[in-house]
Amino acid sequence: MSDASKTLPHSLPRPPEELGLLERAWAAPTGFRRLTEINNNLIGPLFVITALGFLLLAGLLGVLIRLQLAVPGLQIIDADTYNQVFTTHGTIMMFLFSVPVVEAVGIALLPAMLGAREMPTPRLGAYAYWIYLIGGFAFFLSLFFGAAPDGGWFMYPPLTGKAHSPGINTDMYLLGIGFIEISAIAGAIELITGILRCRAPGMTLGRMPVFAWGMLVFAGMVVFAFPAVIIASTLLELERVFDWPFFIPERGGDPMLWQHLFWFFGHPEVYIIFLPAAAMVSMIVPTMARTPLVGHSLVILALVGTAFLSFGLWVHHMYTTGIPGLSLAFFASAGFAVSVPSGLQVFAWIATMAAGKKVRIATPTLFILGFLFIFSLGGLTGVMVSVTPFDWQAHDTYFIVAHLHYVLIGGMVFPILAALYYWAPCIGTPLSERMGKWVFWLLFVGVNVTFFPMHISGFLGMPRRIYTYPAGMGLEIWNMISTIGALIALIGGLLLLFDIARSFRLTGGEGNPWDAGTMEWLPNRNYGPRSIPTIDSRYPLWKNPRLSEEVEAGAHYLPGTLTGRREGLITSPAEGIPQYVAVLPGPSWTHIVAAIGTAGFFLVLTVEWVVPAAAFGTLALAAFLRWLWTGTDFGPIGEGRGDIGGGLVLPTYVTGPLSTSWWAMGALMLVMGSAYACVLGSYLFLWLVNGDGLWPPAGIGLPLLDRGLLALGLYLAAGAAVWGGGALLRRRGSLPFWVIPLALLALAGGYGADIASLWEAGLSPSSHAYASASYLLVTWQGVNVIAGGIMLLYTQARSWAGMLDGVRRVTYDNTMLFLIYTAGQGALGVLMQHGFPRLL
Amino acid sequence: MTAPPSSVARAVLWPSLGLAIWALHFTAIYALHAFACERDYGERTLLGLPWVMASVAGVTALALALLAAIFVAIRPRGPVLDGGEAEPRFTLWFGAGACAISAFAVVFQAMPAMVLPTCW
Repeated sequence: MSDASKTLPHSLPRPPEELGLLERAWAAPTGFRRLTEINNNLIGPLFVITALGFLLLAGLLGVLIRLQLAVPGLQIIDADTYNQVFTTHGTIMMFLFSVPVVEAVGIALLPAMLGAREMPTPRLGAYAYWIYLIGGFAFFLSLFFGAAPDGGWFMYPPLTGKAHSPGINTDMYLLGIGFIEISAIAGAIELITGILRCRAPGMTLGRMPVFAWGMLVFAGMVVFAFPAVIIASTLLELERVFDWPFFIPERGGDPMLWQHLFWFFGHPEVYIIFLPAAAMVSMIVPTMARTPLVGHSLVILALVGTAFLSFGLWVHHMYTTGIPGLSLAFFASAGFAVSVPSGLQVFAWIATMAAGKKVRIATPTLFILGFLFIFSLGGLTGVMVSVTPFDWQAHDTYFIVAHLHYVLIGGMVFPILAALYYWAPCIGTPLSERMGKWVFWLLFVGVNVTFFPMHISGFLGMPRRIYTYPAGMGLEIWNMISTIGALIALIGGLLLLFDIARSFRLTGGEGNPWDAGTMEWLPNRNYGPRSIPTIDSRYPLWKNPRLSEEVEAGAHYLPGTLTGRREGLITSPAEGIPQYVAVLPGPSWTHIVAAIGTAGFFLVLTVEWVVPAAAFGTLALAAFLRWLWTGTDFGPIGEGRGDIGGGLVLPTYVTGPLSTSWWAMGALMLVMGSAYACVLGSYLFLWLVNGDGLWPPAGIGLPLLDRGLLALGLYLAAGAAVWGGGALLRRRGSLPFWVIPLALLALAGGYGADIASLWEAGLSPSSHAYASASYLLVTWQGVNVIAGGIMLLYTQARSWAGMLDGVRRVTYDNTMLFLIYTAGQGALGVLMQHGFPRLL
Repeated sequence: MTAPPSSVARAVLWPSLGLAIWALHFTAIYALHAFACERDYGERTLLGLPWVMASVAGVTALALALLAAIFVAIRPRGPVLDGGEAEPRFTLWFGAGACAISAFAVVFQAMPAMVLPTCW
């Protein structure tokens, strides 16, 4: 090490007490308190195991469906139960397995892959896990009480409206699944901030591993796609509970609004789960081929390009709804366009295998080859159904069932299984290669035997979602083959779980058995890597074979702790230049209590128990506030700066755009902006389908302009107050006493005037879609106003407690950003509410 | 050492600008067409051309002009590769590449409006 050590940030050996202090700071609680740990090395694997548990549960439901359809006229389950079973199967697969498992792999691997000790908001990641675990199992259990949703995973109204679905089954979906989306969004915010700000020095965006790019794309897509389904669920729940007629044509609503909102989420959802899986493949193929990925930069461009273009495909699912042909052609064209970047990745993998030395045919390789075969078939049938006239024939038949399973199992499940076998030794003991090959072949054969015949039963006219079918239509043989295939796949799945239970133990890693080149294969403890190296290559372990030794010896940056607490090195987003050392929170019960409160609130609301729901809501709020009070905005600790090595002295506390907190709030604002765009889009859609003379219709007045102008002025005043308060805080070092009360009064007053503009005009939200859309704008704004009000009160309390000043002002910055956003959103809503119907 | 700025623009905005223009273009042509068919603009003309065709062509020309301008502004003017890897101008290269992909998609999606009947 003599030559290399001259340029390393730290001389060796390191002081003996340094490692002990680092270990103490990152020590995991023991016994029952182990549950309070938030470290990604624990939460990530727990997340993965839980997601695989849901895969098993949903898979068993799939087998039950196949048994029911094995021969004509079977009555294993009745029609109503069948409806719940297939809806729960699809819903769990999409919401409780596919998205969470991708997020789970990200949380488990990304810090190590990026050379970080931890993600920047580990408690948020842990909260995302617990809310998912509690809510997910509660949702699954609803099946045993006959309360599971039964309208199919996309829940179209009017079938799911109150008239046709009067029970709580639909509410279980709208509320029970709706809040699990909070988990996905919380995870996405953590991932965006972590990937852009928590990388090793020198790891520029160009050197960042493809999987990190895939997860960045995933998180970005969650931010823009998930709010659409949250808004759709909100609208349908408002219609069901309060009779606001968003989807009832007799009163100006339109069921197509649901389809637009749902598929604006639902189609990108396919890419949300496929693109990170593809990125996993882009990590595994180079290792197995022992050569860098061919076309690395193009693959990244393809990932991002596919993500964007996938948002132009949602009408693919609506070809039979009567949308004009030219509009369908726009979406069909986007469908063809997206195949270019998607195909590019496939060619890059094939070229990498061709360019490498002899490809290692291990279990991960087999799953990747299986992925290429199955996904290509799914892609080909995807091109078929993107051709509009073909889709008119195939729509809602078993051909579609075959297509979607080929795409999702090929494009997502097989890469995830490849990843499982590939990365298991990275965080624990390896899985069995011998058993892995059995798992692969059973699943590969099982999947193809199950789903290929469905193309034919679809061509023969078998509709999807029927609980049985008559004999004599030529469907018997294909359904029997499909059922046999499902049983073969089930054996494969059970063998996989047996292998995991028998072979896998969480140990923190077992070396680098594949001789991979990326950072996650460095020795990884509770604190991540012992020291953080500078990166100058996409495959640092291949470039410097001694890197592992140097890192473990503490020769690189931050080999100890500056503050005696958990810390992470924060770098600039594009260039990976070290900016500061962030102090991170440690174990706590708060996020678990918050998760119980959140899950309880939504689940109890499903059965309309208002008082218990309020109690759970209060519990969640109290836990959130305690979490924020004790686990964020620590302020400068000790000297407030320290030497991380190589003469690099960094602060341990920053504010403004430098801080990760600012970035996380920025990501949250993107989520809120996306949700509000869907609200505005819903308003405009309902205007468009109603016609100019019906907006508002005869007998319903316009909102009162004077109240609207007052609301506009007060919203702007609230925003100006917090913005001006921020400037004064920086300049004077303390917050003037009037800032928070003024902002609070202006915000509350503005909202009061906003509501009054509708209420005093005599608008009743259940009278017509115009009125319900108008109230929707105000209702959604109300969510922000309540959250903003709580944040203002919290900030005032921090100020009174002496935890807010000119230096320690992260809390104020967050509140300021949120309030400015809320004020802007309120102002935009007022302009839309009052200007649009008057200017038509 | 002074902490450098977080360079949001370099990390996020410039690289994704081209694709954002694609998204705006797609939204615009779909909204224009939906509006035309709902409000009986399908048979009207603009500048002597069918209303939808003319407006889609106009929006497309604007999008392509913006993409070309961004491409010219951010294309890397120095060596892109550094030791075989796309550094140090990766984000600029990426932004220019995104403009190229977006231009392809913009043209591809606008084509149906030039050849298909408006509201069928």
